[in-house]
Amino acid sequence: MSAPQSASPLDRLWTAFRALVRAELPSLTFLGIYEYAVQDVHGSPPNCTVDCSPTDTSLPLPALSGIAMRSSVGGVACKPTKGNRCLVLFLNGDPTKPVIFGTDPDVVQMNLSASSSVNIAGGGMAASEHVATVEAVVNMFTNFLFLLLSQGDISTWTNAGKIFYTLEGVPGTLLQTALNNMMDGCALTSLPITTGPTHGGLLFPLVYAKILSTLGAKPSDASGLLPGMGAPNVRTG
Amino acid sequence: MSGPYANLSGRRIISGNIVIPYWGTWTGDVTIAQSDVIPTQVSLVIGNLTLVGSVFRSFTFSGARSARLVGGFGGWRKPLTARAYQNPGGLSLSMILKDAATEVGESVTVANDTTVGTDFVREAASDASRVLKQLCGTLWWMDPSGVTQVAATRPTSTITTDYSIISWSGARGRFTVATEDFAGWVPGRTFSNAVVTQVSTVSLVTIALSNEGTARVEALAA
Repeated sequence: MSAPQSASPLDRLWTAFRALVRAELPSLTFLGIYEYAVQDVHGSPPNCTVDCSPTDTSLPLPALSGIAMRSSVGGVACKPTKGNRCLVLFLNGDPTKPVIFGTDPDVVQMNLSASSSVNIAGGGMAASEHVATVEAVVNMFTNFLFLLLSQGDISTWTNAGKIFYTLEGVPGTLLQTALNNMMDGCALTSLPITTGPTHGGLLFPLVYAKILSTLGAKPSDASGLLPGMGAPNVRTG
Repeated sequence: MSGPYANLSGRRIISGNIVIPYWGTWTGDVTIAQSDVIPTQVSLVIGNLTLVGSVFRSFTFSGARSARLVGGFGGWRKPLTARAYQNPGGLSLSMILKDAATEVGESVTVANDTTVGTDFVREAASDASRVLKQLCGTLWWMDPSGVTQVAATRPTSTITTDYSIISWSGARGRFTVATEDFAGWVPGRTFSNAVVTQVSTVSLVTIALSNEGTARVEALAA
């Protein structure tokens, strides 16, 4: 429905009545939500501004420039696509406060952010997978590098007492112990020290295979302790 | 002063009723003693009061012409196109109002200019006064020279010229006044005398011009 048509000026009584009503509601137009088309976008989320024009040219509203975006979902900021539609409203019905409140879903860029954590639930269950994996992975590799540095010259790594010490058929006991300690609290049972698959000439025991199979299975874990894709904690704390 | 005591751009007024409210613009219905066409822009003179106004409607009948007058230049009832304003440094109220006033042939003065924000969206309106209402609410009035005044109050001062209270309705707060100072009896001004000891503020003025040649002020007290 386009903008309402005014009464015929031939009807003086009705015209006068409508004028009185409109005079008492001067901000009526600014209580609506209007569909606009994005003409240009400036900046990046969360500080995008938009130039847009009404899709219905019969509306009594002008094209707008440099209008800020306001997300209807906390933590979400996007950069809309030129030519797509957006919704314009006026905060508190105030013509001095236009904002873009929504756009078509195919945006150029979308940001998700929160001061504490971002949770994404799946499978209709109470389980959740933590998304902040990069930090956890970097943390784990940092600890592993410290472990390596503690072993001194790499040429001595296979010597007795070193973490990668192995004889043919004999697993790296110290390495297994160290890895188990790193994953302490992950609800993995303490693995037996037995011969397992090798990788890169070093003997990686069943611990390594366990990590691979656990990541592959991605079990639902409400506690966040089991290492799954995105599990932030492979050790408690 | 030239022309009859009460005249419309020099044409004698034989009867009329002029209403001057506290807020908004004055209006008047007058009948002049001739049938020729009158200009759209007129000066309504009653004694020492001169009001600049425009003719909203007029008709001739039996050698006389009647006209409905509105204060100002007839611009505030003209349409306005939609327009968007933006200034990161802030938009002044006076700039937006003067834009609208200029587009429709009116003039406006803002007593205390303010910043409305960094954006203002002006809708296309069938009457330009809608912008006044959106930004100023009711706080505007038409002065006798046809300039729209935007202010929190009208000027207040005591009426000191001679006048006689002909009748007074305490229940209705309505006074009928005989005075030669029509320019002094405008909304916002205060009055009291030996008969009406309570200081009253004029809220609305009606000037009644009769066929018998009398001119009376009827003032509603606030």
